[in-house]
Amino acid sequence: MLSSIKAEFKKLFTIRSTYLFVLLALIIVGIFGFYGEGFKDSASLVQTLHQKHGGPFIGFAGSSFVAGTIEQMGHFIALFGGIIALLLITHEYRYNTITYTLTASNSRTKSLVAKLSAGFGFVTIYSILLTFYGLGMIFLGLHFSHNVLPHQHISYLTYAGKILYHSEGYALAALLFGTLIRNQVGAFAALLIIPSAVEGLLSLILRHDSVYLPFTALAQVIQVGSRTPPTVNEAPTGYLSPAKGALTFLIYIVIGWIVAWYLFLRRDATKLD
Amino acid sequence: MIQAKDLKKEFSDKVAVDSLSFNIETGKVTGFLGPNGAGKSTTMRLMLGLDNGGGTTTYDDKPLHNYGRPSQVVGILLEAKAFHPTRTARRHLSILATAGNVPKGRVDEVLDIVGLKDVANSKPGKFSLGMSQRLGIAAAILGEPKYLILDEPANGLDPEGIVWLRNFLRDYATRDRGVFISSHLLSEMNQLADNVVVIGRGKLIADDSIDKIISGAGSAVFVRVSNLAALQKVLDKAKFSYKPSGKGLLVESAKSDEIGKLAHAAKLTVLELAPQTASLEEAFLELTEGAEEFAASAPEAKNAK
Repeated sequence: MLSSIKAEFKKLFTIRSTYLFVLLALIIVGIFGFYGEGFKDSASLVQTLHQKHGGPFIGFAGSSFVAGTIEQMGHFIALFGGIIALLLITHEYRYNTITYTLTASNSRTKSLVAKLSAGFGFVTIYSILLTFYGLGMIFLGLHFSHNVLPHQHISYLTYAGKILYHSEGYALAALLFGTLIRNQVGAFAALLIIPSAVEGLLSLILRHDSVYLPFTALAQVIQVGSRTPPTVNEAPTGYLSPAKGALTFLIYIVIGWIVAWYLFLRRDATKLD
Repeated sequence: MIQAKDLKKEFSDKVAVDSLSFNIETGKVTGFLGPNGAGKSTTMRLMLGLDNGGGTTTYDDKPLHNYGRPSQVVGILLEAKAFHPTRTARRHLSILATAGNVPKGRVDEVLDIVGLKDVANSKPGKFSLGMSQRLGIAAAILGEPKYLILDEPANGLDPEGIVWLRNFLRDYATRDRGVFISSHLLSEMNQLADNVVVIGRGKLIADDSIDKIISGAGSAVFVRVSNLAALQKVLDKAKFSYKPSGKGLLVESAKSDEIGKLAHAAKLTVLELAPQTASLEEAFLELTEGAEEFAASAPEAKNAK
C-alpha cells in the first residue's frame, strides 16, 4: 500500500503539468496578493477609512482586510490544486497507464486509496504553502505601498484550516470527476463548468436554497469568513455558516465517492465498454 | 501454469469472449492467434482482471489478486504507447518499480536488456513504435515475473529487434517461466511458439502444439514417376485424392512413405517424392475460415465493380 502511495507521489512530481499549474498558482496568487490587494486595494481601504472615520482608525473597521483577502485567494489555490489532482487520475486513462497501476496492486480499492492519498497529501502541502506565500505577498505589497492598515485580526490556524478544507474539497471533487468520467477533457470541463456555470444557473431557480448546492456550499467555508450572517437581501444566494457549508459539501462528496468507488471496482479498466 | 477457465465477456452488442478455457505452461512460449476482433486483447485483459467478465484465471493455482505483489507474478505489455509522453523512460520504469516493490537498480538493468540505455532520460513521446515496444517489454520484465502476457510485442520492431525479441522470449521461457504472446506475424510465431491457442469470434478453435496444428491442417505429397497414368490408377485404387502439379501429382492427406510404397509395389520408378507441409499461415487460415470479424472483399470483386 505504501509503495503504491509512493508511486502516486512520483507520478505527480515527474510530469510537467504539476509544475506548470503550481507556477500558475504562484503567479496568480502572487499578483493578486502583492499588487491587487496588498498594494492597490489597501490604498483604497485606507482612503475610505480616512474619509469615514478620519484617523486614527477605531474599532473593527477594516480589521478583516487581510483575512478577507486570504479567503479570496482560497479560490485560486483550490482551483489549481484541483486541476493537479484531476490530472493524476485522468492521465492514467489518457495514456492507458491504468493497466500498470491496477496490475501492480492486488486490489483496486488499494489503487484508488493510494491515488486519493497522494492527491490529498499533495494538496495539503500545496495549499498550506500557497496560503502562507499569499499572505507574505499581501504583506510585501503593503510594505511597498506604505499604507498603514488598522490592526488586523488574523487567526492563522483558522484561515489555513478553512483554505485547506476548501482546497481538499475541490481536489476530492476533481478526483471524483476524473474517476467517474475517465476522460481528461470531460473531467476538466466538469471541474470548470459545474462549480460556476451549472451551479450559477441552478441558483436562478433555487435562489436562497442554492447554498445547498455542493460547490456553493463549499464556497461558504471560505467566503463568509469573519462576517456576521447577512440579511436575506444582502445574500441573494442564501447563507450557510462555514461549518454547515462544510458539512453540506461533505455529504455530497461522500455519496459521490461511494458511487465512484463502486464503479471503479465494477467497470473495465480501460474505456472500451 | 496459468489456467484460464470459462472466460466470458459480453459487450452491449456482441459476445467478445465465449467460454474460453486454455492453459499456459511454464517452460514454453504459447502463441495466441486469431483474426482481427477475435477477442485476443479482451481475453488478455480478462486474464489480468482488468476487464470484468465471467470465468477465472489462476496463476499456479491462485488468482492474481491473492498474490501480494502481482507484478512479480505476471508482467504485461498490452499497449506499446502506455506511458506518459513527457515522463522520461527511466522515470516511467522507476514509478512501476516503486509500485511493484522492485529494487531501483533493476530499472537500469532492464533498460540495458531492451537496448534503451542511451535514451533512458529521453521523453518517450517521440519514441518510434519499435522503441515504445521495447519500453513496454522493459516494463513487463521489470519485476522478473514468472509469466509474461504480451499483446503484439513484435509490432513495429525492426528485423534485428524481432530476432532479439524471439531469442529473449525463448530464453525467458526456458528458465521455467511461461510466455503468452499474441501476434499477427505468423512466420514469427512459427519460429517462436511451442504451443498455440487459436480463437475466432471469442471461441476456442485450437489449443495445441504448433507441429500438431500444422500437421492437422492437412499434409500432401508431391510425387513424380516415370509413368504418371499408371500412378493415377494406383492412387485411384488406394482411394487417394490428388491433383496435377507441374510434371507430377500432389497427393492430398498422404505421407511420403505411403506413396513411395505404393509406387514401388506398382513397379514405378520414382523420380521425385517430396512431403508438402502446410505453413502456420495456411493452418491458421484454414482454422479461422469463417471466423473473421472483419474480412476484406476479394480483389476480383472490387475489379468487377
